[in-house]
Amino acid sequence: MFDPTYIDSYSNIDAPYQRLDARGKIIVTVAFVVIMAFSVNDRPLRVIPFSLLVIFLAAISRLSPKVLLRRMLPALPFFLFASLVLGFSKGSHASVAAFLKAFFSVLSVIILVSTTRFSNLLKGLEGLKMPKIIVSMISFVYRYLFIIADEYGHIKIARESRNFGGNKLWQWKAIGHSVGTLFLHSYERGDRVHSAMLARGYEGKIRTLGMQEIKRGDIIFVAISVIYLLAAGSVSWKLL
Amino acid sequence: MHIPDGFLEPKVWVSLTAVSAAAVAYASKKVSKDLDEKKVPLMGVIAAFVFAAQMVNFPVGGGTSGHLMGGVLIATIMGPFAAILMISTVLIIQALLFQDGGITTLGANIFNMGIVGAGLGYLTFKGLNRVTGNLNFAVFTASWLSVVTAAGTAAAELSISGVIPIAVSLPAMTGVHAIIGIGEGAITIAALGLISGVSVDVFYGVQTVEERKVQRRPILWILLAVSMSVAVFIAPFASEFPDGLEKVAESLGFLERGTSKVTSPLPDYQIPGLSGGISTSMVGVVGVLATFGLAYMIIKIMHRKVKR
Repeated sequence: MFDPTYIDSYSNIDAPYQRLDARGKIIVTVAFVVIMAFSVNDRPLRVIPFSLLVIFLAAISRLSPKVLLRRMLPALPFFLFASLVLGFSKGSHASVAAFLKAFFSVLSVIILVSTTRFSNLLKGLEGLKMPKIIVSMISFVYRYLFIIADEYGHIKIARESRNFGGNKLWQWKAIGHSVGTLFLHSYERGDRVHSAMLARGYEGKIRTLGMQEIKRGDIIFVAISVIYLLAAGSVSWKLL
Repeated sequence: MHIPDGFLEPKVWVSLTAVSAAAVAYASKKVSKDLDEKKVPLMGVIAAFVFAAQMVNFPVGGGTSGHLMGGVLIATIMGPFAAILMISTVLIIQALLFQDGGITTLGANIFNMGIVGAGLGYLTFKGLNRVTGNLNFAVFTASWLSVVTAAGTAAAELSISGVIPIAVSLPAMTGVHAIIGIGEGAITIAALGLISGVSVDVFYGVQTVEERKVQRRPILWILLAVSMSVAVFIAPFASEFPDGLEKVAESLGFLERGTSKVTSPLPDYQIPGLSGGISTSMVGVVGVLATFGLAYMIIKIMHRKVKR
């Protein structure tokens, strides 16, 4: 249904940003999105200082603009539509500001996930005290999503090839049975995975080689970025 | 229904983030205690199923199609707390990897689809099943309601943030989703029917008919007593501030338009001729009794139909 290789295909490039610790990158990305959300306030010009940081991060991660934009493509239609609606209710300034905010927020998240290996991203989230159960569920969704989506693809092909059609109620029933089948298969698969993990010594906790070490570079990166963001927020609040 | 970054005002997303964070923290505590924590792999694979199920398209007519939300489907099988965790997990992955929904709006999206969609949906399912004893009816209504209310809260959040007036967004969003909800309900019934044909105890926390008979009435009366006391003691203090909808209406200047058309027997929750606090309490009591009576009547009528 979609290409599973696309998630991690750029996280192994040897570039300065890829070498930083996941925790620092998560903190900076969230700080970026949150501080920008608080400071822009319907003034499009205020986005400029924030966009500079994202462009800088994109530069030190050596991701081509083409790659970044291609990943953004699915989100763009909704942004355009929503900011158009906003233009009618709150005016053109608010509309442009909302579009830019949405655009650069998504860009910063894309840069984060495409420069960090997914396993490191999860370790980072766990290091930042996200509930363990959610982190491990995310890791299982990451591992099994493509398999289960594929399985639904097979069910769908089987359904289509048996002349799927007729009235809507009948179609809903057939789709419901497909979803039920998919659930049963997933449940069985989950059980099998669980037994296989038990057989390999799993006892309720996933053991990994500890955290990445926080280096001086990581601390400097987080400190400078957060100070820059706060300064950008307060300066633009006064001037723009 | 995924709201991206940039379209909600801080006051909206900050408060919803707080609510959702508390709910998710509580749910993960509850699930770790209830369900064997060693079963996390199973939960994780089923969360992947929820993700895949949300990509399922179904026709709703007029050449359009809807997406399955799956909140009630998963909550009736795995329980409301596990469902909230699974949907939060799916939303986090959608925001991180698929640019579907934002970071600041994650709390709002978890609120709409997890807490309202799955949590409230489950409560509706359980309540309706308890009073009517009709599983399919409860599943359908809960699924339909979960889709419509999730769309409604999303519309409300967007309009409180000033993106689009509530008078436009609410009918538009709930209207479309009232139709999509029918598909969701039908598909959920079919899916649960198939699953319960294979495995017997599918429905989470549903009592058997004998267990149910014993303790139906007291709960009804306790609920009534609680609602009455809320109406009497808390309502007078709550009415000082305009609610979200009124605020939007006021700021956009269509409050007058909304109020002048019909004359209510109890205008603005006050009985003419009685003073502030007492009057509001009285109206609260009347309102609770009227709602209760209406609900009781509807349930009675439906109950009789089901029995026959």
